[in-house]
Amino acid sequence: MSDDLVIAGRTFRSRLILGTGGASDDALLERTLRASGTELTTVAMRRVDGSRAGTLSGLMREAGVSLLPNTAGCRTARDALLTARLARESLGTPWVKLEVVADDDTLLPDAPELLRAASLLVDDGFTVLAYTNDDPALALRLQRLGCAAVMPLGSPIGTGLGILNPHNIRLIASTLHVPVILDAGVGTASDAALAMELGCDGVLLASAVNRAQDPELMATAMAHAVTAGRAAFRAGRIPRRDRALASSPHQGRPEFSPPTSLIDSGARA
Amino acid sequence: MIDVWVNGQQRKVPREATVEDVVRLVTGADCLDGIAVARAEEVVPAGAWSRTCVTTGDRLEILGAVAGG
Repeated sequence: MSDDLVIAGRTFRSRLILGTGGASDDALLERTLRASGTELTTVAMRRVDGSRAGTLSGLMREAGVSLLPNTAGCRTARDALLTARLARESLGTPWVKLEVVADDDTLLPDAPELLRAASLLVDDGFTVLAYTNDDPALALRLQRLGCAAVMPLGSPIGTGLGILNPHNIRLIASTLHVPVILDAGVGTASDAALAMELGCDGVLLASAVNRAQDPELMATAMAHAVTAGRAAFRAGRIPRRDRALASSPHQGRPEFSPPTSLIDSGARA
Repeated sequence: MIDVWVNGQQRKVPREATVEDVVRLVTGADCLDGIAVARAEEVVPAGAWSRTCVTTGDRLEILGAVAGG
């Protein structure tokens, strides 16, 4: 049975979105993207360096990966709108990963500016994938404004601290009807698997792969983790219990010595 | 020559220079795919570069995609 990710009517077989952030070498980046199986990758818009003008977009086209430009570095809705418009002009896509951050130290989203920006971009015809805090109320507001996907952080960008508030991530994933993509904070494969087990529709990560000692191998690990986490979510985990529940049957057990219970013995002592 | 600001730096360009002239000057590239230009916080569509002249004091931002995010 197919279990594709659908964002704004577009189907993706891979639920892993691999960013290019932190990649230092084009050839390695291409191999890493292929190893991840991703079909969508983020890029940032920056002042051109004459020697490299336009090379990255060509490389992605060759790798068969679509581009998702971001508004990284924007602090205001106005800057985000102009950056998104430049990305649309430059790359020919109305898709944008909307980032509006409060400061360079935490890179945490600035909620009021983020909402303002989301509204402006949706009105301007963009397909907005909004990077946001792990705040269920804010996530709902972004969905209501017309965002195509909502992307709560696991922890601050580049920290590798994993998912600091799994309860909120689960709540967001179970409440929204647009895709929820965990974005930021993934440090290793188990973080990506956990995101999927919590019900996220996908995972977006960059540093964990591109800054790993072996990016290509970590990309493979992340692809497996996302697939495994998704399967575990769909399969339905067993409920957590305080006490053990034997997996072998009680019936038919032999009696080699009188039954005792350590807990009962302790209570009597 | 006139003074304009390109990617945060002051530059002298010929009077009557177009946006396309400035882009080629800055990028040194023959192929201008994947580049976008903003002037005075408005996008100048690529199709309009060759007929849009820059004027003294213009502030241009010339951007392209780089690894990030």
